[in-house]
Amino acid sequence: MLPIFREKKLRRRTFLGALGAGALAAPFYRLLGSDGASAQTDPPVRRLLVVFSPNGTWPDEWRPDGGETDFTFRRILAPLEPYRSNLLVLGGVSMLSTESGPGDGHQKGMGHVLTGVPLLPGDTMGGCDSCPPVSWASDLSVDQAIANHVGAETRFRSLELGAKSANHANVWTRMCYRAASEPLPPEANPWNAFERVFGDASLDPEAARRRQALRESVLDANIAEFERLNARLAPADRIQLDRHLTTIRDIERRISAPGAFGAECTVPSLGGVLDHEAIANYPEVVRLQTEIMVMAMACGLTHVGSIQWTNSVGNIPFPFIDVNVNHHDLSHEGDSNAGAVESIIEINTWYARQYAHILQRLSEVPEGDGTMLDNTLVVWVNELGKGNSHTLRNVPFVLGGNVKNDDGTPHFRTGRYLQFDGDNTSHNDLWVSLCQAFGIETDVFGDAAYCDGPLPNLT
Amino acid sequence: MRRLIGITVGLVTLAGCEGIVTEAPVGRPGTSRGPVTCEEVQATPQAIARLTRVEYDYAIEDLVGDTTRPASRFAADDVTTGFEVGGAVSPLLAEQYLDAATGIAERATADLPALCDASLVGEDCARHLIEEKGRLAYRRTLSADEVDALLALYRRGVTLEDHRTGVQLVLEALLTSPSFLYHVEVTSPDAAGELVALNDFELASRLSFFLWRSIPDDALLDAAAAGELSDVANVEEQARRMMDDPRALRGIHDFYRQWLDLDRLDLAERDAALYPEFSRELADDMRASLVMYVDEVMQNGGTLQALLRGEHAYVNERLAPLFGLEGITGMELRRVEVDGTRRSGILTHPALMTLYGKSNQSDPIHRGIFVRTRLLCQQLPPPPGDVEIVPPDLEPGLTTRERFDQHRDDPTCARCHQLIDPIGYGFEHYDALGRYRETEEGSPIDATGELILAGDATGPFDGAVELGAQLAGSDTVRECVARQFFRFAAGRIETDQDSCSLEALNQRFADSGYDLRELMVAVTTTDAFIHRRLPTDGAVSP
Repeated sequence: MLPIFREKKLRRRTFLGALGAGALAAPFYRLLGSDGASAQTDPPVRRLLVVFSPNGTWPDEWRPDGGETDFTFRRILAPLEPYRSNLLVLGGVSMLSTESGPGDGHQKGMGHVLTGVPLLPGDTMGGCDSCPPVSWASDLSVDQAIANHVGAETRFRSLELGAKSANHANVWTRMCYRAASEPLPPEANPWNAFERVFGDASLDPEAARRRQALRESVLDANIAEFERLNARLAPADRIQLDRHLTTIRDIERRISAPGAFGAECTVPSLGGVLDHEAIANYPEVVRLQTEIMVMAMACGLTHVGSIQWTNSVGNIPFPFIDVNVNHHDLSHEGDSNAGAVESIIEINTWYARQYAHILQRLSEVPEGDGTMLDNTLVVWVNELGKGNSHTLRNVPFVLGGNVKNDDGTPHFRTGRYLQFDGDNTSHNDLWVSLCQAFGIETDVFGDAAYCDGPLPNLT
Repeated sequence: MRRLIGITVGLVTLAGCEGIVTEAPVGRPGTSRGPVTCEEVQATPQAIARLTRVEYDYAIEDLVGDTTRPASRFAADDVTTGFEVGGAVSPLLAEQYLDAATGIAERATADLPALCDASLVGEDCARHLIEEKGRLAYRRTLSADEVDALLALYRRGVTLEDHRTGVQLVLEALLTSPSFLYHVEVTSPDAAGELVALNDFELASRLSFFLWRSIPDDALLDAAAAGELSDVANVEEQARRMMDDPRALRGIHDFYRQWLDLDRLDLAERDAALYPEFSRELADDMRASLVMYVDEVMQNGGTLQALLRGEHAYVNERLAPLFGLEGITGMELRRVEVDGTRRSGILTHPALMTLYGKSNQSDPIHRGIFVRTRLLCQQLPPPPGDVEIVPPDLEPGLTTRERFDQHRDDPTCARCHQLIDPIGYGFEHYDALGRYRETEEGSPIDATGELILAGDATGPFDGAVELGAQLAGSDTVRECVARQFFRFAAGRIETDQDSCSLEALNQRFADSGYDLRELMVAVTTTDAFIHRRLPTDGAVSP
């Protein structure tokens, strides 16, 4: 798509020079003077970023020692130490909603993790005794509920990115849903993502304006064409195409929505194109997607995003940390296999470092009196608790960063480790807490049978 | 998205592998509700589907000669049936459709004389394009309203910029139209749950997207316009004509790519210490060699026997050592005879043995699952939760078989693995690159195995060559292959309501002596192919 960077003042030559110059980026546009854009917004901007890593964790090394505030990290979360005051580490939160509906452990874990609703029947075989095949989750995911609330005016309602997040779509490879049976695909290629998000940054404003005028003409014709055909379709088909039409109308509405550019909005420089599917490039792809996401948010192009690291049952090796066996294969090893356990700990620790890097990048972007980390909640999820048992209980959830209340005070009381009762604490309630943090007045999210209101003691 | 509505009964599920030691019959699909009379036409409800990425790219190639494969960047298609289907349209994909259309139209209009006859200028050119390209893109004659709207858009482009821009906008509109992007079938605003015979143009599209993975050609659209496809004999005749066209290789390649899961070969990795000869180039050669083998079978009236049991291969200098061949030089793949006591068609091909191999060892489990799911059409559940599963590491002095045999000893594992491992052991003569071996870790290879609960393929065998004979002569396998083609054509799993179509398909496959080309032709004559049952309103499982 063609985001239109309104009133861009840099000349094209200058911009390209900046792009070529460095590993990172150069500020390319300044709309509102030296203050960050969000400093003036009221209520304060609230952003959500969900990140996913697969196959459960190794609970004995994930769970911190000690109490609520005097905790010490064990190996896996140790990379988060610099950000401990920005964290809520949540032990004992379980996907109890997976007790309902069809699907095997990985299917349910992935389909329920952000939705908290049963899966629908379909063609995809699962792995449980006599369980019927499934299709998709039966309602929208929490990131999308929040995007509907805070993403109405941004260039993108939400932005889904991935890294080796599978080149096919089924219940194992999708976690974000904008509605029942409507999974949102993550863009796994940083260079494609860059073009989508910052695409016209290399166009001069005149060319960008021209393209926008042509695009609007095509969209007008396209919408009329959809309406003409839909009137002739059978009801079931009409429902499908109406969804597509609604999406096109949304694109048309947002096509000229500029980012609220502040001084900290920079276009990331990706460097030369790499094979984004090669294992050797995985760490770099993960880093680049973080850069694109952080800058898309800093530029006000979206308030809600997700980064999906591989997918449910993700099965890649990690040769860059000397783990040469594939992740999912490892996660099936028994507890007595010390070598496999060590590898699983290494992998999860590696993911913790990537999570910490996201927090770091957000903390480096000034915003108002603080940084973007004060206005961005980064939620780290997993589709299982532990790999070899496929348990959907005690799933490792970490909240980092924060969002502000209307009065400007931080919403979550961070810097704490909370241990809940894994048999009775539903992750639906965590999403209720999340909705409330973003100003959605609700006591229920997903399957109401698994909701008791917000998780206690978070705020 | 052509997905199944309602309850799936077509899957033969060895659910939980319970009770398998005793009776559990391996039935054909669609027979689980007792006898079905085939006098009345039946078909499974099917939701509207969009073009898959493969279909989009070939359609663009045939429409404007653009071979840049723009859809390779699109959000991925759904894979829920083993085959790709066009699922829900996300905002990302909707944007990708718009951007791709802009790029294609810009490239196409760079050479305007190639698009329009030189004698046609201005609006005459636009009108010509709308009628010619519009008919191909929408796979039907455009209505007067549609033509007028596109002409108005042309004029808008001329006003904004110039003639070329007008033409560009027309092309963009064609390529973003739902009439191009979707398989639009049955335009009847009040229909719900009804079974409808497709009209000629809709049937022309089904034919071309099945056999060519693309839009129809003019000859097919002309036949549709003349009402010829209302006669199923003419449908078959068109299918034969299309199978003789080079574009038929697209459908064939796309089927085998998905059926055998060949794309995963691009991601295969091997432990360099154990398999130093493995490289991307070797993997590419393996894939090309397999495709050439399939092409030969499909083009020469080949049978299932030829596919599974042929005693030849396509090799070059890199592949020859894997086949134990010497004296092959150069990188060009050529046809050679191979030792029929060691090789059995695609079954033992290095591409499949690598695809279904591990980084550091052979993989009897996934080779067994391959046979179970792809050749016997039986679904196996993945390992259950709450069971600790420990794939055995390499261990000096022990063969793969000895290390995996613990599955037999653990009753929890044995329930399912007795259906898997004894098939996979049949491939133990082939290492993780498909190279033949007589010994492993100093011990002779034991490749004896057994097909359990495999219909008329059931029974013991020694090695993959015997296994190939057992499979290739089995009705269970033949019917499974027919079902795989059916799923590929329909974009969904079969159900009860397809049982008569499948029965007819099986009969014609048998009558042809199990000729795979004839099987593809036969698919186009089934009731399920020439009808669509509309989903009931609101009951779509989208």
